Amino acid sequence: MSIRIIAVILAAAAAAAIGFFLAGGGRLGPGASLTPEGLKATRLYPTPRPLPEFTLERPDGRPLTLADWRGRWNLVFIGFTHCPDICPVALGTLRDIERRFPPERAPQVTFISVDPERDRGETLERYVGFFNPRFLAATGDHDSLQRLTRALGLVYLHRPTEDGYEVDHSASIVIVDPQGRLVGAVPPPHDPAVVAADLARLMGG
Amino acid sequence: MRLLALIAFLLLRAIPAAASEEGVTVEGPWIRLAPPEARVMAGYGLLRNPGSSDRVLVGAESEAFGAIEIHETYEQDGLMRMRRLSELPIPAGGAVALKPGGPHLMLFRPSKPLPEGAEVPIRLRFSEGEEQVVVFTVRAEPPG
Repeated sequence: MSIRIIAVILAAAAAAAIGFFLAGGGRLGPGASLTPEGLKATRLYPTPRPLPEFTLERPDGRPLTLADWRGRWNLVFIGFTHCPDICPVALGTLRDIERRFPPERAPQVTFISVDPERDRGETLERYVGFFNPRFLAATGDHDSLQRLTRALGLVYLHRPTEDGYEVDHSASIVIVDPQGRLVGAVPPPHDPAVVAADLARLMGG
Repeated sequence: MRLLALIAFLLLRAIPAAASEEGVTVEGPWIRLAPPEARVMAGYGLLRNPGSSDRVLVGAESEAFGAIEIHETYEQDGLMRMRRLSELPIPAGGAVALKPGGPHLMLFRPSKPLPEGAEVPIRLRFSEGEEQVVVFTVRAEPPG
């Protein structure tokens, strides 16, 4: 019995040591410029991940590409306008986060609709603009959306229901740095003050 | 005399009936303000059952919406999903919160745009056939 207890303690200690090592490895790895210290809600990737080039369509027909994310800190959220519960909460949260920064430092927020069948043109533009006219909105064909969401560490799927379909989607806020690299993600639930503080820390301010 | 007995009988009947039929109350009923383009909205509030028997919410309707269903947001494998609930039990003496990220009233096809502060009567239907009209207020943020 006591041997088993000792074994459990040793296993726990080993797991803790491995966890410590991994955390340290993440900090010291080549190319790492960000540290998880002091971040309250954000899950950082060990090193920022360059994103692939992509082309989505904005409501006015212009393309949205990786170039639109370069030069600014970005918060990205995927959803759809026929989403009464999660998406309005997230967009309200993103509005609140954005307001906590002076305009010149404010993150750029992009809402990507993963429901292109229903979210095109003015509907998407007005829906997102309702929360903040500065927010970017875009969608695309499912090939483009799947490629980009995967690269962002997000998932969505359309699930048939008795009277149509439902869209299941990740509800994390993704952080993309001014080099167009995936830095981390904030899983729900989101506290605007906490996310804004994490982001300010990542920005190095 | 016979009349007095009848009155007494009716009174005695009425008292326990009133106690057991104490309706479900909804604390802080609200609808999240949505863009005018939104084809769906969500209604929330704390459903309290002060009665001595369980109550089951089975549906709702309102002139303000094309249809209303009981839905639930839940997380599975890191995905936020939504499912329709055919009923929502509210245990005797207990409460169930309709809240963001949980069970809520899914309000389909608003018949007209609902600005902040609008008051929307919604008829809640329970399994025993009882109905109750609750006025929901459109708000940008949860009450309180």
